[in-house]
Amino acid sequence: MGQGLQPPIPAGGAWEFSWLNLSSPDIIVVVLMVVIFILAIALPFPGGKE
Amino acid sequence: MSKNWTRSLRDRLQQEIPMEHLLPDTLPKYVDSYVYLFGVLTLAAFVWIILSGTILAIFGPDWWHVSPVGHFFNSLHFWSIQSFFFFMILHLWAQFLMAAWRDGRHFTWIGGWLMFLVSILAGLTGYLSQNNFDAQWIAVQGKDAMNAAGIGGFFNLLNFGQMYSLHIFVLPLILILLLGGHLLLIRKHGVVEPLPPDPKSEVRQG
Ligand code: HEM
Repeated sequence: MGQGLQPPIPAGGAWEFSWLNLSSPDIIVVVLMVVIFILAIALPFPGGKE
Repeated sequence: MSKNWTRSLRDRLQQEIPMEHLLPDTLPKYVDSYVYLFGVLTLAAFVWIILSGTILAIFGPDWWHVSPVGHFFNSLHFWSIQSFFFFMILHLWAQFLMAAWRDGRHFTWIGGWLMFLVSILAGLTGYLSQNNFDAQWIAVQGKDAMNAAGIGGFFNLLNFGQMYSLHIFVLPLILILLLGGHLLLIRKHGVVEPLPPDPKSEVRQG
């Protein structure tokens, strides 16, 4: 088994403060959630004619 | 006619369950926004979780760790869970920002929170059910937290049988029951109206 599969499995570089510890995958997911949420509010829904 | 429990239960159900609103073909004008899709996206992800999980349960860990088809269904299960939580959080933001607990919808909101908490437990027991070193690592680390919380005696992370049965039976069953209630309540109350414009706000639109 590859060395990368031995726990603890590193989640990648981390953005770290005493009160916050986000790995790069964490940041990607959070940013993606915010972007999709804003798009869902901003984009007009197709086919709303009446 | 005298009352008996079948009769009163039937009357109750007839009154509580809005048969004519269960599967609507029209919705209010304000519902034409992507924000209202997050709930049903969560629901779709949940259906995929149940389907892929059932296949994993039938064939077992030596299949999902070794066979390419097993890997495929393992990944399907994993990514369905990622999208389930992703859309559940967006759904939660949407309902929070439109204060969707208004006008008697409080149990829809509270039930939503219960599903969120049960889902986290399902995620934990799922990680413990992987049958790899990672699962063992999580169990051995997590047991200390459970002992510190005083629940290690009946929620023992090292007891694989207990964790696996919780993961594939008890927690999914609770989620399905809560989800049934959530959806019935939504159809009973109808979609929540948009918030009224703030009378104090200086900015006028249009
Ligand atoms: C298992 C996860 C969940 C599923 C599958 C789910 C599904 C749904 C669906 C399909 C709707 C109707 C469509 C919509 O407005 O998006 C809905 C509405 C609603 N959900 Fe959820 N939900 C879940 C979790 C939650 C959570 C975590 C909350 C918040 C704590 C929540 C609160 C609500 C409320 C208040 C409504 C009513 C909105 C209205 O009346 O317009 N739900 N849910």
